[in-house]
Amino acid sequence: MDVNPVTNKIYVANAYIGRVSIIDGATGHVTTIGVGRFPTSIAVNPATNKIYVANSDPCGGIAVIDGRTEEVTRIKAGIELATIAVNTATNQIYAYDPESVTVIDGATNKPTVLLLPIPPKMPRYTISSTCRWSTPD
Amino acid sequence: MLNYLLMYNFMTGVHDSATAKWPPVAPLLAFLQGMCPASWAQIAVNPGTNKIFAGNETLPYVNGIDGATHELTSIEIGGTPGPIVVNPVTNKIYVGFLATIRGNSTVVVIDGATNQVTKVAVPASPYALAVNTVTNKVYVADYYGGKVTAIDGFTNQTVTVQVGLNPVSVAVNPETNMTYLGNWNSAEATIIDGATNATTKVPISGKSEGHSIAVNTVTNKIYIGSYAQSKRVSVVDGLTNQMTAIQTGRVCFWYGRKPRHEQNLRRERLHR
Repeated sequence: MDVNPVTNKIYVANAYIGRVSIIDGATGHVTTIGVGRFPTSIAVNPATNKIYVANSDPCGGIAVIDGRTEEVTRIKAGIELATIAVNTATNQIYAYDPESVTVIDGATNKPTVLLLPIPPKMPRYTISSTCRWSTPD
Repeated sequence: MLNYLLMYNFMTGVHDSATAKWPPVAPLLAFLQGMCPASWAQIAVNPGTNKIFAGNETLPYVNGIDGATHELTSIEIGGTPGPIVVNPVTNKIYVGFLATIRGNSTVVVIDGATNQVTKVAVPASPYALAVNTVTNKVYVADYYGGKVTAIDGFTNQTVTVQVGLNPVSVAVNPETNMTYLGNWNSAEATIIDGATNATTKVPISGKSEGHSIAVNTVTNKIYIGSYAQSKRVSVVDGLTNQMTAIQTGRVCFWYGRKPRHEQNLRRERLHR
């Protein structure tokens, strides 16, 4: 859950239905929007009015919601993402999963994966080729 | 016991959602895999220094990432990192040792300039952290002990307040110096006055609420996300402490999903 104090909108990840509820802080009116499987963490960049959603499904990736048009762009990145954070100063977004940090450039939505150290002899997980990314579930 | 509790809620909760598809593949898979991530932040950003700090759930490190060069520095902290917050004003990073058992634990303070590590003993098991950048206080929510510890950022001295319930999420409104806690399996949220450390309980919608919490400092409204059957977000007016409920959807199981290779270890810990 995160708040955009500029637009007074609150974004709530509803993990079980794969949607984000958008609450209008002024009226209390709620709309929902599909973002992919198992959204769990949300970070708002109030400067760009973009909302970043980390989906913790193995095929979840990151969903970017345009706060104005409520259009969703999905980014193929991360495996079972846990938390997401925004640097509003640089417009870079950081999504964490237990084995890597995915950096998203807020201007281009281009992901860069930074691998975190894991215990020796532990195989790294990779994104499954069977994941479908075309539409939000 | 906790796993049974989760199973109970899972069994009763899934099919009453009007919008959920049947069969509920994603929830089922997630359940088998050990559920959602924790409510704590395992990643934190310091926009001032353009440094990112990410936890490492199997190794006793915090990973410092340079935002410009993507260079990675592993900072040894001597325990498994759990929740992380940054105070960008003082350039200090606070990392709680992963909360798995009841009892005393440690919050590690990393100096952002030197990566030097200072350990602060807290009579609590840090489940979630929040920082008040105005007063330079860090609030440690202790789920297991039902306590909140405030760390003074200047002296690293601690004050612990018993809140009685089981806080799982914490957020600060630095403008009003109030700290808000969502409690597991409770229809109440806790408010701590930063000046006096006095606590107030406010009723929120339903039970098992408080999975996640966010503050709008502009409107002074506090939003508390629901995990429970009620599928509501409780909105607390920061001025009057009056609550209104908004129907949304169920958020998530409150308790953290571990990396696959650590799941068994985690389950063993929980069974104690």
